[in-house]
Amino acid sequence: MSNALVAVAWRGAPSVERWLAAAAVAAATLLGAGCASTPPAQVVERSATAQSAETAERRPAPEPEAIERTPLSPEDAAVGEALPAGASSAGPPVVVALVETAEREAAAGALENAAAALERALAIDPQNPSLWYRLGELRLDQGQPEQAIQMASKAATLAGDDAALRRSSWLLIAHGHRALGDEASAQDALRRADAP
Amino acid sequence: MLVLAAAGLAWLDIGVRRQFEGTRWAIPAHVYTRPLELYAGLRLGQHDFVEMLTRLGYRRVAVPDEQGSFRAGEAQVELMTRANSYWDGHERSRRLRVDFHGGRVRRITDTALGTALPIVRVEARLIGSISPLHHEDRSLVRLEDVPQSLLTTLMLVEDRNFMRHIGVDPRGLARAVWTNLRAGGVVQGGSTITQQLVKNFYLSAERTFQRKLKEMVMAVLLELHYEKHEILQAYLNEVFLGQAGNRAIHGFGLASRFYFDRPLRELTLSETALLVGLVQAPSAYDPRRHPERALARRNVVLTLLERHGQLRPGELASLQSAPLGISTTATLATTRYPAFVDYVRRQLRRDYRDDDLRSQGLAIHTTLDPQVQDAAEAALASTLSELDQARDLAQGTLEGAVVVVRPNNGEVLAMVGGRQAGFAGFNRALDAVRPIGSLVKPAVYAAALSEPSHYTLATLLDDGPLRVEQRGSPVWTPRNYDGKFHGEVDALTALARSYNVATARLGLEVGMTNVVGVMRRMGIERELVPYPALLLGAADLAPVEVAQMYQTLASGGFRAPLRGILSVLSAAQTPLARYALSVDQVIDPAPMYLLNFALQEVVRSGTASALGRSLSPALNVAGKTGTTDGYRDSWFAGYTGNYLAVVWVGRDDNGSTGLSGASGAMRVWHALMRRLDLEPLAQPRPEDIVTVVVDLPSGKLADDGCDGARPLPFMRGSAPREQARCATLAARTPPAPAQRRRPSRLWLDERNVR
Repeated sequence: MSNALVAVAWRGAPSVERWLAAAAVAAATLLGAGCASTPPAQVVERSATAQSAETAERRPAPEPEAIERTPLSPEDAAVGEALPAGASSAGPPVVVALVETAEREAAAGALENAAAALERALAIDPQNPSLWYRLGELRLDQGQPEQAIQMASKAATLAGDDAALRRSSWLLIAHGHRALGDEASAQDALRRADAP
Repeated sequence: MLVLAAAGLAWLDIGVRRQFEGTRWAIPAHVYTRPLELYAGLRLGQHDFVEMLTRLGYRRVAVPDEQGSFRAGEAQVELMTRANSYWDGHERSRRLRVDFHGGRVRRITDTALGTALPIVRVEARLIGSISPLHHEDRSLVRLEDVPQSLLTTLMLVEDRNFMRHIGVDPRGLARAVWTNLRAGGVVQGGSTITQQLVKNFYLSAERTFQRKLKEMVMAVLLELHYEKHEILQAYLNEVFLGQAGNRAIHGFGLASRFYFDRPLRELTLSETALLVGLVQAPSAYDPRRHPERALARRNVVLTLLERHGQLRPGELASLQSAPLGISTTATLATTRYPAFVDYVRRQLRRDYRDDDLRSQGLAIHTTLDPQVQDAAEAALASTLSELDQARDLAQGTLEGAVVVVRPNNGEVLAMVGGRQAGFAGFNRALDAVRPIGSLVKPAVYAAALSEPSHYTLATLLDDGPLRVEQRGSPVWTPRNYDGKFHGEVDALTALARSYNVATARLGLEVGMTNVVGVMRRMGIERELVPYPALLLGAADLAPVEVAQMYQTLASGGFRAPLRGILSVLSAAQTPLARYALSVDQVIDPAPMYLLNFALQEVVRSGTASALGRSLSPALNVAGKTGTTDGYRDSWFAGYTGNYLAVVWVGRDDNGSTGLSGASGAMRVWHALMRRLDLEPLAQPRPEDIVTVVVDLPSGKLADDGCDGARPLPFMRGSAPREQARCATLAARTPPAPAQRRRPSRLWLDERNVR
């Protein structure tokens, strides 16, 4: 890049005129001052206008390196080709990778980052009931029972033959209603969970 | 005399400060597309990927070792991405190799690390800027984002003492005169950067001694009030660098896009030299109109750099032999997607106070998918041209709008506000508020099917003549588009063929309040007048509102508020706000399943059957046509598993188009979908839905002798119990209503339904 190129030129040019050196130092100082106000790339700070209290904390952004810890063999990638999106609850490798990112964020307490990763996965695999279910769990943990109920309802409608997931979804709906103080709806959801 | 001079000075002082403050805090919010999510298995061919990179301003090079460059090999692309920040983190610049196979991404390898990546966000493209203070986008830059090489070159050529002088620089002036004399032409300017900035504030170009004096005084005043870096930043954004039609190109940021279609930080040294060279005489050195002059000027600047030790030995020759590198495709990208940017602006205004928007350089990450957007623009423009020609309409009188939404999450992927999509103007996607015609009908059937004890898809409806007397209004006598009455007809066919009279009667039976309630739950916020004519689409809505209604249907009854924005970051890439996914189940799964089955029937055998013949039946497309009185509005709303699109075609003067929903808007819809990779609409079947084979003409259970027998979904317990005896009795016995129809619910007390 031209930047680097000029820097190299500077180092290798002892005969730079005094005024140019001064200008360069000044410019470098300006640039330095500018850089100092920019947070390090790997640390993302939330302002208070972020959506929930937990996001106001300082916390690491998802580490790009972390994704690399789950390398795909060429064979795995080939499986990804063959799999139509939404073919299974687990989903194609890309969805698995995003779910792992979400779990890592959630484990670190970065619930909204975890939600963002799940939403990325949903944009790729929108009919995957596990993703909706997991998003519902996160919303419950974040103190948003209404959205927890909605996400779980979506999971329940998409669950199809996955009886276990359907049951979990109705249990989550029950939790949500209970959190809202609606015991009648919670009991109703519990009955649906146990329906054959 | 002294008093006068002091007063004059004070006046100049106020003027110069006002000008400076005005420009200083106007860095607009930048608006970005969604990033390309690149992953193994993604349906994307090598050719399309290369085209996307080119659109992003990536350069094709032999060795991609700079951010924003790539090399295309066979079934493979190597590239070096640009670093980008998103709400949930930072994607650093990476060297990638992407392998393709069979029209899909086969593998993504980080070549620096030698590992495969499951997914990487390649880049969000800048599509525009929103400035609450100024309309004009200047692609403003912050000093810290400006490459050092540009600053060095600029000071070397324009103002060597900038960091030390007090606004004027007699020694610099003398040196410039001397240099120019020696060179036999103008090589260096005599004004300081501060003076030039002042000159730019006052756009008059008169060259009088008085003006020059005023300029010098103001330059000194400016230096008294502001720091060097503030003045330099203002200059970088203010300096005149060319002309695009009737628009002046101010500032290096905009000039970089205008001439090279790339961000400033990616320019090569020779490109930087050209931009700096332009400062002196932008029109005389215009690289598009006078390439040979521009080249000579650039090389003068490069020579100057060399003479002052800024180049490595031997570098000058290679830099001077480089082509100008002027982009042939560069447009001022701010207006590429005006309708969508307008939508984003309105969502921001809705959600933020003006003061929050004034903070500098916000980054707005949006839901726009450039591929879908381009497809939608092309589909609208080409189809309307075909329709113009086919129908002998005056060229260009047909207009249209398109909104494309991701069904499950409400993200607006594309928005076209008119057939000339690149021109900002009347945004029909948001502002063409027109009667929606039959697009309203799914709300009527949703209300009915939510009462399974009264209505199923096999319920026979009465499509005989209907008179509704309304006190104070003319008698309402709805008619069908084909001018006929169809007697008793099953609900499935009535919706699929868009029968008006049967639907009107059905709507009056279930009640206006119920129908309006369903429309509300589908997301219509505008006031709706509950007159019977509403049942046939006498509701004026904009395409984007219709898109919200149909999003609810396309996602199986889960309304997700339409979103154009994903997140907002500060200039320092600090996440400020995220527009999270939220859904609301507003139609129960079972009636929703039945309704979608009927909307698929529209495409299988109804008013949209032309689509059914040209798109694969396996896609299970659902949709609805809409036509209004006198063929003024042609509508189509339809969806696959991965795209919902709403199209309106009409005329701005509200004249007749001569087009039905199927012959106008639906053709645009089809042209759009043909350009996209479609996934089938997969409706999960709720547990309480059963399939029963019925004889549609009688609405009863079919037996072996029934020709028209077909399997239909029913809510458990709502299927007909009576056997049709098609082969023997049906011919002689008039079909009786299969079910107890609910007694008519009068929609208002003083009105009668006959």
